[in-house]
Order: sequence, then structure tokens, then C-alpha cells
Amino acid sequence: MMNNIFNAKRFGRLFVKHTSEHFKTYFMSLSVLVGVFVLGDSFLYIIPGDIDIGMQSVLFVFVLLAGGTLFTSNIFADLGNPKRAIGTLMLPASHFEKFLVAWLYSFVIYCIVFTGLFYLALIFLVNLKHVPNQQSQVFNVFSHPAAPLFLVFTLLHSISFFGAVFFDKLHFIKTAFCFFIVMAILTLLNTVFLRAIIGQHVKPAIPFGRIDILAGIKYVDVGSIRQSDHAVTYVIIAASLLFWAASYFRLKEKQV
Amino acid sequence: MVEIKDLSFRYGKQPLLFKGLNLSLNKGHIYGLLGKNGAGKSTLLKNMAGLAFPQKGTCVFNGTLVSGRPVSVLEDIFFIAEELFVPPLTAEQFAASTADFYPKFSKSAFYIYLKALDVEPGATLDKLSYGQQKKAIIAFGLATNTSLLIMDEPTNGLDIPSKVQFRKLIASALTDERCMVISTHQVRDLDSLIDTLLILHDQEIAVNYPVDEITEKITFGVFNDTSGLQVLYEEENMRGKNAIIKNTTGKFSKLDLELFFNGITSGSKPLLATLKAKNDE
Repeated sequence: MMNNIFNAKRFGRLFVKHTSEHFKTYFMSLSVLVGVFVLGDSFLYIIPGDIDIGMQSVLFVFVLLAGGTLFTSNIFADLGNPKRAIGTLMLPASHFEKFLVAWLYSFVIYCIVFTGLFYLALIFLVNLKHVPNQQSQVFNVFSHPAAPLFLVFTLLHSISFFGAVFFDKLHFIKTAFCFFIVMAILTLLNTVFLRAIIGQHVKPAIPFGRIDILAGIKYVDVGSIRQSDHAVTYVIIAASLLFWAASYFRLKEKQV
Repeated sequence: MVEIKDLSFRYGKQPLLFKGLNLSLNKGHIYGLLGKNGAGKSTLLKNMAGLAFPQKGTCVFNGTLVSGRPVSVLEDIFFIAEELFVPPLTAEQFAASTADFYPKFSKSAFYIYLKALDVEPGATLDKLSYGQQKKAIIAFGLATNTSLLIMDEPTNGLDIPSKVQFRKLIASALTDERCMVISTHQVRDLDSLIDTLLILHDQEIAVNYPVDEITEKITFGVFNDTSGLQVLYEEENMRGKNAIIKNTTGKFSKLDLELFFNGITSGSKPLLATLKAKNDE
């Protein structure tokens, strides 16, 4: 029974097979990522003054989230093409092993490679650009407030991952479209709910986000809970786990 | 080996493709699956392999439901699709990365099949012509030695010498432990290859008889005049009347697959009744 779910040797073979068959595509993706960093760093290089942490973090966050969701959205592209899907689904490896290879590549390996490349490019740039009487600072992705970014990426990854296996074509566009529609509906419902329980006018608020209540002619921020309340962390982790689990079951149900 | 019971299947909201279909396939046979375009040959094969799930009924392979695609089932089934995808690897590299998934894979047989089909082991698969790609995958499929080998239109894209070679290889690769199902609409490609004929028609398996049993019951011929004969189905051609008649002599004639297929799909009741009567005896 267990052999039908996970076998380390078979998983290793699947990982190697996946790598050998997608090597060219992944290498090209890596080259694009390097190009983006070179372009971004060139911009930081030409602007006057020190390369500040703010600019570094903007580059990191934007490329991590955009690149990560785009890459993840295509991780199950084979399943959207009947010719490729037959080969993938009929390969004697379990659904869990196939799921795990895709998850490792799009989440773990992507994060490691992305962060490594980012620092490589940044350190090179910092050494290249000397500003007199100033010591350049390097953005630390593992410190607060940067670390929660990975939490946000986890949620966006899980959503993109589900979209990748759920849709057959245009995975990224369709997933992004559904994401924004759902977010708009949730925000609307949350705002109506907040107004009902508070009894006062509040600004449109996303679930588990801040609450701005109208006091006189000004809005007062009364609950900036995103950074202080662990509930947000738990909700994000739970939602991510839910989307990953849904992706697994969707993979099991995939037909050609 | 394969047991399909009461299978009903449709795509989305389209009409039912199969309704209450029953089929049993056994080891040691080469089954030829024929059907008109759109009859559902490929879909039936996909149901058999667990690539499509029935709305009703079950598909079981060696006692296990195929719809869950358990590894134990996948290790023992190889599916050659009509439209193939090949990775950007050579045949050698493909075998190196994929063969280990199939416990009974024979590397030496793979190279023998490649040579017989005139495919260069060092050529990159996605750079080859469609026919060459198909031959490489056929060679791989045969070399897996899976108990069930499903081939959907395998001769599409093959040139005439390759079709001849294909027939020889299939015949040589059949063992008592193996079952092969070949679907095609080019009925002549299956001539002298299959031992059991399946015809999919009107949402069900209309014919499931061994070739020997068919030719024992009916005979084929071209006649100037068929009056006085027990004609079950006939077609006019330039040489006369191409007819299927009841075999009353007990002699075997060569199965004219095309004529037989036309007779069945035209709904010839005498033909079906004759076959059925023989089967029931």
C-alpha cells in the first residue's frame, strides 16, 4: 500500500527524469531571472547615491512574487496538453511523488535559487559601486520585516500551484483573474461585516487586515493586526496547506 | 486481466459515448479494436488505462480499479497514444531515465526493436519525424514487457515497410502473460495480426469474437450472382458482389476485415444473429 504512495528510490528516479526532461526550460528560466537582476541592479547602479535597502527590498519582493507565481503557474503545464498528460499520468510513479517533484521545484528550489541569485547580483553591485564616506548595507531577507514575505509567497505559491493543476491553459492569467475576483468579493463582504459589527463607517478592508474607522472627518487606524497577531500567520499557513492539498487531489482526479 | 462492467461514459454534457458496456480481455491475446470515427475507441482505451473515469460502471485490471492509477497498475500497463509527446532526449537517454519505472523492462530487447524498426538510438527524439518518434515509442512500449500494452492507432504515420515490421514485432512480442489491444480505423493494418476482434458500435461492444470463430461461422467471397446463397451482407463492386455468407461447408476462409466491419456497422441483423447463434452453441 505504502509503495503506491511513496517510495524514495522511485521518487529519486522521478526527480532525475523531471530534471533531465525540463532542464532546458528551467535553464532558460534561470537565465531570464539573471537578466532581470542584471537589469534591476543596473538601474540601482545608475541612480545617484548609495544603494539603499528600500530599493533592494522592492526588487526582491517584486521579482520573488511575480517570478514565483509565473513559474509555479506553469509547473503542471504538461497536464494541460493531452499528448504530454498521457505520458505524465501513465508514468509508474504515485500522484504524491509527482506532486512532490512539482512542489519542490516551484517552491523550495525556486526560493533557494532565487535568493542565491539575488545576493550574488547584489553583492557584485555593492562591490562595484562605492559611495565615498558611506558603507553600503545589504538587505537581509531573513530578518523582520522581510521574513514575512516568504509567508506571503507561500500563500501565493499555493494558489498558483492549485491554478496550475486546475486549469488546462492560460494558467497564470486565469489564476490571477480568479484571485482578484475572490479578493474583491472577500473585501466587500468583510467591509460590510465590519460596518455591521462596529456600527460605523470603515474603509474597505481585506480580511485580517487593518481597520480604518471614520472618526469625525478623519479615518483612525484602530487595528493594525497584520504584524502583531499570530492569527494572520496561522490563517496564511492553513490556507496554503488547504490549496496544496486541493492541488494534490485535483492531480489525482486529472483526466485526459 | 481487464474487466469492464456496465461502463457508461460521456464527455461533459455531451451524449453518452458508452452505455452499459461490458468487456473482458485475457492474457495471451492480441485484440483489434475497430470502430467508426467518433465511436469512442480512444476513449475506451483511456478508460481501460485509468486516464478517463467512467460515470457509471468499473474498469478493473488484475483485480484493481484503474481509475486510482495506483503504481502497481501503472507498472504493468503501457499506453501508446495516437498523438505522442517525446522529450528532447535521445532514445538511449529516454530509456535511461524511464526504463527503471518498469520492473520487466528489457534493455537488450529495446535495442533489438529499435534496430528492427530502423530507429537510430542516438538521435534526439523530438527532432525525428512523427513516424520515427512513433516507432521509438513502440519499441520502448514492447520492451517494457508490461502485461497490458494498449496501442491507439499505432500504424498512423508509419510507412509501408514499417507497418510490415510492426506486425512482425507485435506477433513476436506476444507471450502467454501478455495482452495487447490495438485500436485502428485502418482495418487492413491488422490483417493477420489480431486473434480477437472487437468492434465498438452504438455505445457498446457489438463484436467480441476470436477470428477463428468468426471464420468458422461465416465466409467471404466475390460472387457474380449470390442468389441461392445464404447472404448475410453484400456490397457491389466492379468485380461483382463482395459478400459475407453463412459458412455451411466448414471450411475456413480469410477474414475480410473491411467487409466484416462494414457489415457490422451497417447494422446487418442476419450477420449479428449468425455470429451470436454460433457463440451461444
